Amino acid sequence: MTNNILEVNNLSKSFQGNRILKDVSLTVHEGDIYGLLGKNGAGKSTTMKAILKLIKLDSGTIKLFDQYNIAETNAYLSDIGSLIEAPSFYPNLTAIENLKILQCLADVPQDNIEKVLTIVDLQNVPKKKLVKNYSLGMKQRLGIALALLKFPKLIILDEPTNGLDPKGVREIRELIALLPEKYGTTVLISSHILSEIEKIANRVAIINNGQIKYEGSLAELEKTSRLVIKTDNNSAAVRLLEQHQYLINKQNEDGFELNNIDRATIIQINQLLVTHDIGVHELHVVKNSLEDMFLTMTEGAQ
Amino acid sequence: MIKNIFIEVAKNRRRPFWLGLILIMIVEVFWFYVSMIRTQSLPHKTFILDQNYLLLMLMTVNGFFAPLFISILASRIVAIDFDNDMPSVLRVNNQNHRQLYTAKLCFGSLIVLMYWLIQVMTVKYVSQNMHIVFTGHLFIITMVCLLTGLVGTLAFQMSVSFIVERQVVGILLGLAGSFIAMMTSGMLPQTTMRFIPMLYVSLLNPLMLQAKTIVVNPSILINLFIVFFVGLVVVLFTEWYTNKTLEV
Repeated sequence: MTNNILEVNNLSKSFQGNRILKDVSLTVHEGDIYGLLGKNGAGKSTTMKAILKLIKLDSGTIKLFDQYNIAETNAYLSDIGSLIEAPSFYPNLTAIENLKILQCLADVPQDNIEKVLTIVDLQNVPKKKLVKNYSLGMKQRLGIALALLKFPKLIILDEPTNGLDPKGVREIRELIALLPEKYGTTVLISSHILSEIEKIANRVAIINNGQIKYEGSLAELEKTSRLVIKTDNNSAAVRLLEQHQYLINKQNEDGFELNNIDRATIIQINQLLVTHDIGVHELHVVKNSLEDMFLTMTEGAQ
Repeated sequence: MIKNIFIEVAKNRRRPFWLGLILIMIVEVFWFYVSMIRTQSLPHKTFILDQNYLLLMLMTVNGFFAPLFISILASRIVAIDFDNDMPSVLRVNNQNHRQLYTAKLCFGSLIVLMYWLIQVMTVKYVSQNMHIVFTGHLFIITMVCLLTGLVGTLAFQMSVSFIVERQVVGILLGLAGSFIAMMTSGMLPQTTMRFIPMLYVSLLNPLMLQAKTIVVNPSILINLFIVFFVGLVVVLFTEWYTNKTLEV
C-alpha cells in the first residue's frame, strides 16, 4: 500500500469576509508528482501556505508523513522544502552564502550545498557572483536548490516556472521530473499552465474558487470522454434525450455533448434520434484532455 | 542564539548602509571634537573646560546623532529579511519570527556596543589631549547612561521596524528624534522626553545646565529606570507580538 505523504482534510479559510478555501481535501502519495491546478486566485498558494503553517486555518486538518498533525507540531517542517510564489534569497550574497545560511538554520550537512548546486546545475557559476546579478532562470534554480537543501521527503513548488522562457521552463520541468525517482522526494507543484503539469504530474487536483473540483490520476482523467452530437434539429434532440433521462453536458447552436457514454448507449442514442426523424449528421467521441477538463470545471460548465 | 547572530552578520555583508553609519559616526566624533577645540580656543569661556563640560558635550552631541544612527541600523537590518520575503523561508527552516527578532536585536546591540566603545575611546583621547582629568565615578556613570540610552533607543526602533515593516517609518522617527534633539540641544523637559524613546540618549544625560552651571541631573536614576523598564516592555511586547502573528 502506498504511504500518504500529505493528507489535507476539509480545509477552510476566510480572509476579510471572503472564503478563500472551501473544504479543500487532497491526498498526496509517496513518490507522486502531484499537480495542483487552478486559475490565478483559485486558492493554490493559500493551500500550500497552510501546509507550511504560514497562515492560520479556520478549520480542517493537515497530516504529513502519516504521523504529524501540523496543528500539534512543527517537527514535520524539517522534512519539507518549499518555493512559494517567487524564489526568496538575499541578493547581496552569493548562492553559496545564501545556501549556507539555510544550511546553518536547518542544521543539515554542509555537503548538501555542493550537492544541490550540482542538481540544479549551478555548480559552474562563478563562486563570487552575487545573486542579484543572476538571470531569472538562475534565480529560479537557486530557489529550487534552497528548497532541496534538506533533501526533504516533500517539496512544495508554487508556480516554479513563472516568468521563465521556454528553454528555462523545460529545464526546470526536467529537473522536477527527476526528483521522486532520483532523490526520493515527493513533489507538490502548483501551476496554471496545464501543459507543464500534464508533462510531469502523475496525479492532479483541479481547484476553482477555493474548491477542489477534481482529484485523481492524470491517466484516470484522460480516460474520460464526451460524445459530440450534431443534428438538423438540436433543440428537439436535446428535449428528446432529456425525456429519456440522458444528461446533456453542454449545448450550443452547433450541437450538444454528453459525458462518458459507452458504446452501447451511443447506439441507443443514435437509434432514438433517427426513429424520431431527427437527422444526425455528426456523432463522435472525443477523449478529454486535461485542458478540456480544466476548462469544464473552471468555466462553470457542469 | 550565537548561531543566529552569526547568520545576521552573514546576511548583512556588502550592504551600503554600513558606509552611511560610518559616515554618521565620523561626523558625530568630528562635531564633538571640534566643539571641544572651539571652546578651548575661546578667550572668554562661559564654561570651565573640565570633565563635566566634556561629558555634557559628549551626551548632547550623541543625543543629536544616535537616533538617526540607530534608526538606520534597525531599519536596514530588519529590511534585509522583509524586503526579500525571507521570513516565511526562515520560518520553514527552523527560525520563527521571535527568534529572528531576538537575533536582530542582539546583532544590533553588538553594533551599538561598537559605537559606544568608539565614544569611550574618543572621550579618553579628547580628555588626554586637553588635559582633563576624570575624578569620582562621573565618567563611568555617563558611559553607563550612554550605553543604556543607546540600547533603549535600539529596542524601540527595532520593534518599530519589525512591527510596522514599512522601513521608512522607523527612519522618519529617528530623523525626527535627531531633529528635535538638535533644535532643543537635548534640553526638552525630562517629563516630555520620557515619552519619546528616540530621545532616550538625551534623557539619560547625567549632567544638565542650570543657570550657566553644569550640575548633576538629580533625576538620573529614575530616568535610567524608566529607560530600562520601557526598553524591557518594548522587547517583551515585540517578542509576544511576533510570535503571535502569522502572515495572514
